[in-house]
Amino acid sequence: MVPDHIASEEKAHARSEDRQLLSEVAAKSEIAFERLYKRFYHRVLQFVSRIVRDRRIAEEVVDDTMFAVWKSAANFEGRSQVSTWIFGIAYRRALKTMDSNKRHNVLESGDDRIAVTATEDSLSDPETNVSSVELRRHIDDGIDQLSDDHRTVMLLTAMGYSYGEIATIVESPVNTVKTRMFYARKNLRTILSSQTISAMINKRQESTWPHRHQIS
Amino acid sequence: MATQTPNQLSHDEALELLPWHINSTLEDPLSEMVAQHVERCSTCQEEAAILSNTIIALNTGDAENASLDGRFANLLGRVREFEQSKHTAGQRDGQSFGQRVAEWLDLSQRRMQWAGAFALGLAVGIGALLVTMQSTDVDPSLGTNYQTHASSSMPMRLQVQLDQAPDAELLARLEQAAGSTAQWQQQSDVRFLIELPDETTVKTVADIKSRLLAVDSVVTVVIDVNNDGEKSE
Repeated sequence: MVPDHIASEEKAHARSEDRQLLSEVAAKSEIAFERLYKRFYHRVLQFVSRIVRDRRIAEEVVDDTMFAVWKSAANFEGRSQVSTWIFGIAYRRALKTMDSNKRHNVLESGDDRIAVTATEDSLSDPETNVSSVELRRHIDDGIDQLSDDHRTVMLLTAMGYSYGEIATIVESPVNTVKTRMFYARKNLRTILSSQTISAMINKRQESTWPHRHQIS
Repeated sequence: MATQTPNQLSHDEALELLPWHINSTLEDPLSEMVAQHVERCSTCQEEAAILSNTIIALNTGDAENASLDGRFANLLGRVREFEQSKHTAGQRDGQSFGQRVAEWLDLSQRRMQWAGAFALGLAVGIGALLVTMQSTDVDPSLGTNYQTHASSSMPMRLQVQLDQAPDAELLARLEQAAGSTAQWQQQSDVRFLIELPDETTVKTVADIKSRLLAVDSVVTVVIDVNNDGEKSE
């Protein structure tokens, strides 16, 4: 079953607003461009940061992406959602940047990772003795150990994109995306220690479902 | 693992839908069915715990504290510069022949100075080259080897991946980078296959490749090793 049943009135409204803004950008409205930029900046940065693993480079990729959006807004044919289109541009830009950085040996591992803002409490879980901050670090490390393809698919899924939309963004068949997601989940389970998984289960039992994350 | 009854999701179905159920992007009836299954299935409860924590981690970062006004102002500067350069190019295209001649004449004095400097530099360079060739043993075949034919039986092909569907301006830049003898074939919105003429040399292919990569929207340029038009990854 492919979960393309992802829909809500809120999401449909957001999509229609995106289209409206993009058509104004195509007509060279700087005001609409600013709104579109601010609307997408954080989400795209979040996505790109996980791919390139360097905040400064990620910011540049986002700006390059939005510059490309300005230049080619008039060419958008509406065959996909605006959001999917923008994320597709960002994905390819991020890959190009990574490729170029690898060639120049610029990409450093570890030290330049994205800083994590610990919004959770720092109290330890009495049963597992793993604090929320530690737990978060374990999860981040686990995610970072996934291959680029697996991490990208998992990230886009976490952002609420359907298999079909992810396939459009990464330009791969839906079945490839499904396979990548399957192995991403499987590998993450293998990477995470049993202690981390126990802490996750305890944490989840204490809370209801996580925040409602709505994407356009 | 829970057993399935009619109107219930199978374990595999629930497991597949779990991420979208957790991030609340699944339609309500399906989401409720997933929730019902998770309540009865210990495997899915564990998976839900891993996924919900992972999804929170993936959706949390320090990006939200950043101020965007400064960044956007910089980007807007870049956009305006781009529009200005397009406008200038458009104006040049619209100029009459007389206006262009007048502009050329206006600049001709500076051009003459530059041409003189260039000719002098060229003469010095050629002189130095002749002196070097006379003083060292140069194997003339080296130059010939460098011009070796890329492929004696098949035309050379390059696959070009863009990050956006090209507009007329971008197409023109790509065509300029690949040279007038290249044959273009569109494979998708953002993917092209370029067939280079038989006489293309290795050096020329490398030059074309680097020129294409210098074009802003080009993501990758790959030599089509199999010569089958498929992307080799």
